[in-house]
Amino acid sequence: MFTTLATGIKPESLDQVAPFLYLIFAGITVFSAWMIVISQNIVRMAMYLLFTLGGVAGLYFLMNAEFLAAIQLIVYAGGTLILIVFGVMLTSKNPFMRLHTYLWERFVAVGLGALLAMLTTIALVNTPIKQSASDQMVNHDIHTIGSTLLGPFLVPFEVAAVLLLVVMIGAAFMARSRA
Amino acid sequence: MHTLITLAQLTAVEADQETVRKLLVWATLLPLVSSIMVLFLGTRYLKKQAGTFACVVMGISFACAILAAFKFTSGNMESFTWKIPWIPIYMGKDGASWLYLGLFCDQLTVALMAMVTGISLLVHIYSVGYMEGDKRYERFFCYLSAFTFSMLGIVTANGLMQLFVFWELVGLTSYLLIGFWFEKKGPQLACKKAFVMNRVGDTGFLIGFGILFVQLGGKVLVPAADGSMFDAIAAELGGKAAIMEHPPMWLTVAGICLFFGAIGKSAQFPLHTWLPDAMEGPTPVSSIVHSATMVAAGVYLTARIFPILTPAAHLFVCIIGLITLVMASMMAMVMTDIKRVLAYSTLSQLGYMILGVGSGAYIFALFHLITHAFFKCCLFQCSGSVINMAHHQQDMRYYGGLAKKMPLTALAYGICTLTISGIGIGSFSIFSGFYSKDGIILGTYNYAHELGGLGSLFFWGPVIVAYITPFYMARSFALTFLGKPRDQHLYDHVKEAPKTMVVPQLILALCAIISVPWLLPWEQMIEVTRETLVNKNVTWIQGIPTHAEHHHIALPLLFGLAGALMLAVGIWMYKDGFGKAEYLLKKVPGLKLLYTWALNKFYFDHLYDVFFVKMTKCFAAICNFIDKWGFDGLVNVAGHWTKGLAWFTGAFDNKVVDGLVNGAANSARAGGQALRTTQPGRIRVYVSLLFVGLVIALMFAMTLVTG
Amino acid sequence: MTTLALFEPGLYHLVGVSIALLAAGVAVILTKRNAVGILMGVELILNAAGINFVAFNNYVWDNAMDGQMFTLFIIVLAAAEAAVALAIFLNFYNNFDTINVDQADELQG
Repeated sequence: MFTTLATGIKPESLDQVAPFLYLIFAGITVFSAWMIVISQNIVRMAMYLLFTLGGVAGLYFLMNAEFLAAIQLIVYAGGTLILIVFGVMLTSKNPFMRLHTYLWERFVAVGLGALLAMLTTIALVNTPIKQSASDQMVNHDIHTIGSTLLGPFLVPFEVAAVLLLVVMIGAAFMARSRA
Repeated sequence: MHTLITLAQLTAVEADQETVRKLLVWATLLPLVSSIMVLFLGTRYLKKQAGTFACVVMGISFACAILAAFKFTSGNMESFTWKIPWIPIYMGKDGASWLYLGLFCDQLTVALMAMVTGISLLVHIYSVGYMEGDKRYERFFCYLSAFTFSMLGIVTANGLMQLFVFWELVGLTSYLLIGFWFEKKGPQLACKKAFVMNRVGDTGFLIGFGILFVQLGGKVLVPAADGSMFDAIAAELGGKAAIMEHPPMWLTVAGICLFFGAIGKSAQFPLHTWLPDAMEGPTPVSSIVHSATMVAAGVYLTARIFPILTPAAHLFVCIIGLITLVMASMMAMVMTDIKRVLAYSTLSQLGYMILGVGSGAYIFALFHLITHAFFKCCLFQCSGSVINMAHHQQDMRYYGGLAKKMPLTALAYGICTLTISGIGIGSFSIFSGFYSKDGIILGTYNYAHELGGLGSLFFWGPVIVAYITPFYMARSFALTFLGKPRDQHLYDHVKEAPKTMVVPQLILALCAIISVPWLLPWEQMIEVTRETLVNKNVTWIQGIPTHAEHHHIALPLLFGLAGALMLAVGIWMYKDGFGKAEYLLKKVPGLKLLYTWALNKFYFDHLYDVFFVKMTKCFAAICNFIDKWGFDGLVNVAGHWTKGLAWFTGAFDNKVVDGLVNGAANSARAGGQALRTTQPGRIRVYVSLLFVGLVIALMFAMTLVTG
Repeated sequence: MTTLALFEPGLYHLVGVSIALLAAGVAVILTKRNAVGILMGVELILNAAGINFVAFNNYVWDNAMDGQMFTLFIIVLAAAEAAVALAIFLNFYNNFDTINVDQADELQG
């Protein structure tokens, strides 16, 4: 059921450490995510988010999606997170201020999250998944990604481009100073 | 006249009729056009030129009327009618029946058209001077032209409906004109009084109309093919002679009712009180109301209904005329307001006319209407000039010696005084008033002779008034223009009136002298009338002028010279103020009483106040009493019952119905409050609910999939 | 299977991480009163979705790369969303002088 990464193009040494790498990245990701939930300080939350995103990037890497991993690091950790940190700095008089929530609210929140997780798990277990038969790992190199983007995914690509333009103008318009 | 008419002649006659008809239509409609144009363009575009504009249009109208008159008389034309469909009243399979707009043209029509337009033109010109500086200058000419149009409409109307429309229009426009200075209390009351009094008369007119309609059917609505509508009605009943011999009762009533319209418009005895009050209006209005338009309408109507008057109606008309004649002349003797003297003089002269129509001398009555129009218009214009120059002082006690300051006005006033007095020697005079009054008195002589006994009052009344008239006219002339000034301050400020006012006065005075006997074919008209009446064997009317011809030397001498005598007496008495009159008042017993009565207008206003206003109030009080103790008792009992029932239903309503309603409302409110908490407006709550929804949806989906 | 093999990363492991991230994201959204914190929660959920896409692509349809493409667009979308959200927060902060979303309750019924 569990196919190894050994048959891929990865070097043997990496193949050997793959389970451990998975454990490390998954651990970082989940731990940091839950630390965000627990933390009361917005700056620390931003820091934990950075770790989570980095962990996810590592998981992508492990799943033969090197390009995505790179993008995750560059755009998410390098761009979006910086935006968020800027947001934190611009919107708080005191960056270390705490906005407490009631305990029962936290219980409700965690309960809801747990319920959702449980439901998805049940769904996952009950769903018959036919895994790919071949052990052959397809090489998703940058060339293939480029031709796919400009081939079958051309329309979403262009739409995304327009979306980004609109977002840029809209954000600049909304955040402008009203003096 | 009854010659054989060839086809060529017929067409010539038709062409002439066409021309006259067109001229008359133009003469009638032009004042309306002028009125509308001044109304809409006056304040914006015409401004101070509005008067000139109205005068020019009125001049064209006058020219049309004069041309029509000459064409008609010189061509020896017969009367003709013309009509066009106006309003459909019935549309059936067998054709439609219509109300017609039409035109009736005979000697009387063209003469009155010329007179009305001519006098209206002069009054327009006079108003340019008189109304100068008034803040509603343009509006005045709008009303004046509309007033003229209404009167022309009455004169040319063919058909009772059309006549009535214009009849009411005259009432309306006179209301507007008399109340022209409506900011002041006097004109307000005067115009209301004039309108209400006219309404009383018009009600009579409508009743008469209704009686004719009921008795004769729809044909009274259709203009006659030839002759006036009343001629046609008379012909329907067998002609004037038949009516005089076997008068139907309803016709008497109808005639008297129609005559009530004339009483209102011509201010005859029971409804006469509005005319002196109408003096509150601007003087040009007085001059035109008293001469050409409004009061003339009544006499005109009486003359037109002449063919259907029965002997009893004749008597009624004569009584009304006689009372007005005598009463008004007595009041004219004691008034000190110059315009009121003239107003009562008008009433008196109108009494002459009505008496003339009633006694059968209706040709002379109309003759007098026209001559009177000229000299009375002139007199009013002169008085207006004096008043305008004397800073709106109308009381003759403050005048005196004004002849030196305003000689032309005094000249015009003097000529008209002589004219209205009917001065003449034998059967000759240069004053038109002599001829017309002579004719009327001859007519009344015939009538009195016919009636005998007490009927002789119908002769002696006019004769005595023919003595009184020169006296009061001489009085007003002497008090105003002769003697020494009684108010030096006023005298110093008076000067001759402007040209626009003096010129019309002099023209009118000229008309009063030479006037109509030479301009219009009266002799011919009288001849024609006599012929037709004789042919129809009308017994006592037969002798309109003929019977009196035996006395035709004596009678004019009687009052022609006596008029001059009374004129001299009047001037002598009042030349130096009121001294001699007051002496006379003290010495002669009974005169004081008469004086007081006349000064208080024979207490008619008081009488009307007591009889109509107070009686109405008293009746209202009685009604109030009955209402309070009679009906209110019943109402109260019913009220208590209702109250009890209301209490019961109220309780039911409060406890049961309101309970239901309030319960529904309360539950809705409670529900709203409960639901309100689900809308806290907080993002996190919404998001929580979103996730709860997601969980539920997931669970549902999984139950579906896994069974 | 060896014990080690049990720890070898497979579809279920990765989806498990995704589920944990989703739960954490939901919890963050529900507990944080700071608007920026809520934004972080949204980012977590988006990442969970991204992991899912890549994992299924990798283990179920390894011939295609649609999953990777979707993840790519998710990243683009997340960046755009973050930019717009921050602009909104700045506006909100300017108007209310706070970043506490509980005070944005003018729509209260």
